[in-house]
Amino acid sequence: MLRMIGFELQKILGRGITKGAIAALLVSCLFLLQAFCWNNPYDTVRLPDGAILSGRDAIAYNQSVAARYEGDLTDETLQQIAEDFAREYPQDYQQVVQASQVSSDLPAPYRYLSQFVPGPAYQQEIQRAQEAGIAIPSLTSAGLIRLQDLEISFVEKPLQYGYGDSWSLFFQSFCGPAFSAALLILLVSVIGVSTLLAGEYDRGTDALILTTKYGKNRVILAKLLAGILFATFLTAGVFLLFCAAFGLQFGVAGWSADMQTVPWISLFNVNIPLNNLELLLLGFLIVWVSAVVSAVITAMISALAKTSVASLLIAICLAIAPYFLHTNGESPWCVCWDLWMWAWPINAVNLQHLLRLPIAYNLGAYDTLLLFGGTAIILFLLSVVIAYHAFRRHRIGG
Amino acid sequence: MNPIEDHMLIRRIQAGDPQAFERLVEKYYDNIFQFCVRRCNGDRVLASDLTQETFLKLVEHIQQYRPTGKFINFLLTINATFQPGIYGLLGANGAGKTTLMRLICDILPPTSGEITLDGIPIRTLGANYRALLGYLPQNFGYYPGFTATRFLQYFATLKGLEAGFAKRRVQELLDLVGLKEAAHQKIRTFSGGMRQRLGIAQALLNDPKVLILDEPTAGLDPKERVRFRNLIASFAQDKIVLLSTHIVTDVEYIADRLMILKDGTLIRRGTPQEILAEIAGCVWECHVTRQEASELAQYFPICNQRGEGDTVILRIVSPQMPCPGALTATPCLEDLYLYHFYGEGH
Repeated sequence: MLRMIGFELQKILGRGITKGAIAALLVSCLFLLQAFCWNNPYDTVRLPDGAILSGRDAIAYNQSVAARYEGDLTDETLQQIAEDFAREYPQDYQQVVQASQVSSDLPAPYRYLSQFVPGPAYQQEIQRAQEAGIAIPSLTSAGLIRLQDLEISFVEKPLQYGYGDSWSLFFQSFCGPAFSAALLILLVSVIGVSTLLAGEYDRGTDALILTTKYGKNRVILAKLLAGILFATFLTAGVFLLFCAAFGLQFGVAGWSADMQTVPWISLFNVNIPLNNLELLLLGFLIVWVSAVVSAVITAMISALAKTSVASLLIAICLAIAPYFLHTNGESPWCVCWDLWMWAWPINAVNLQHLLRLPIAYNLGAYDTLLLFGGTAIILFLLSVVIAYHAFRRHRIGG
Repeated sequence: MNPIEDHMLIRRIQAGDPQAFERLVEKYYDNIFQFCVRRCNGDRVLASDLTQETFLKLVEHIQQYRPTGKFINFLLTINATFQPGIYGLLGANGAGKTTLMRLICDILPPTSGEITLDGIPIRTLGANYRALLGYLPQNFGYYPGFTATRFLQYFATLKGLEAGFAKRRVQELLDLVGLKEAAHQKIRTFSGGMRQRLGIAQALLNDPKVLILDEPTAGLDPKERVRFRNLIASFAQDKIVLLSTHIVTDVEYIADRLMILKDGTLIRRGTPQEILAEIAGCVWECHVTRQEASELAQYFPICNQRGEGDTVILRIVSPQMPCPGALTATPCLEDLYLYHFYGEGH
């Protein structure tokens, strides 16, 4: 069986379109790394005396500032950050307070503080609330919004704060809401696996294979396993590439900080206890499962479509269709449909949205992850069974 | 035809009743041929057991419905025995040769009826049956990026050969088919003849007991065809080889028995001598003028035509004397082919 899998992998990797897709994936990953890792928005920092640091020096300075506040994130910690911010960058602090404007060349903890500073319209909101008879919680003695008022999770068990820029950038580039490596991995998996079975029909090797001893059993399993391995190698390879790039650039500072404290990925009210490292590993897992499911669905289409071109086109359409099939309606059926569409691979790799969905729909914190897992299992099993039987029963010239 | 009676006869034949066999032969003399693979020692057919008789049984009303809408009652009540040897399957395009082979290889299911091996449906035997098969389809496919060695190693794996044995077997076969020097070249660089030889090597990997070759010499030059004939002849000493072709000379020298298919029906079977004897007196040689040659060509199938000065020597296949002065000639397989298939495509 191992030999068969090896041969099938060689067939997948031997195709020009697969090689081209992998090359395009690598180039795209390099572009993503250039944008998020080597030339990221936070690679310059302004010191209190006005001097500008860039590159590794900027990263080191950011990490040293964040290290001052590492540990439990409490209102007192926020107060300390605010005091230091106001002392070291008084003009910038005033800009945040008065105009909610944050300069991107400030150290990381001070940029993070901005979401706790009430905006200039806050007083008007209090007045309107009072007129409506709604109680608005008071601010802290430092004039900041309380942690519990931002609905940040685990306030009774304090979140762990740490340096978060690198983790935020890694997350967004690998499995974030916009163009990310995860989408490319799915696409390349589909391209690579599209001719797994249809290619045999096209080349005319189906008759040879189906008349061998293992041609109607083991070889089909070997092909499916080869497709799964291909998706796995792609996902692992890209993930390791990103780990290496971000690790060399930023190190591992802040790995144990809770994801709710990471800026700019808006997970502060997600009620799942994960630190930055665990969040990325979850992202890898989601992307890997999505890639494997996409590969197996593509293999099924390959077995049914009979030609490589049709297989590729149908597989790509099926892979991206859930991205567009949202109703955004409010009826229970629309909500169920939308939730199910989000569980499909193309949408699930947007991990930020997958984790935030339970908040939008008033669900349990793990419900969308469970829905994704259940959908993945069902799609996987169905596709394997259909692909197996479709190839096994393929009629030559009939 | 009475299916129930035929079924009972077949069962009696299986039980060893010679009179039942004679009755069936008498009833379907023109349509019966016998395939028998005798299964020994349980479920596995051992090479040492294939001494005198091997049989593959095609049972009752095997039919294949063509998607064009033409229903072909393909093979009727077959009880067949192949002695180890070479069987040439002749027929025009669309006669059903490839369909028959695909049915035997279990890559095309019959619309009704079943094919059995010693009474067990080949679909039930599954992998055990396929382990006995070697198949070379017409226009077989290959992987352009694979080398010849890699290609054979791949199929050796699919045929269940162990790694060490497969390695030796691949080298042996590459040497046998004359591809030793090209063993590490990619198949995309091969000529048509080299690919065909590679296909033959692939079919022989598992030392099959039943070898099905569909147009194996297509694309081979005469020298390669001779090499192929010698290869098959040496291989078939204790095997069943079923060989379909349009090139009658391929089977003329090596086939032990011939089967002629026309419109999905087996119309003739027997040794080449027996079948040729049936058209004795139907092959003529005529010495005519060019004008007469053109006229005769409109009415009679011309097997061969050659000029000698102002005279043309025609070889004509016809039950009646085609023209005055025509002399009978000894028939050959090409004459036989023309005799049965001249009307195809006209």
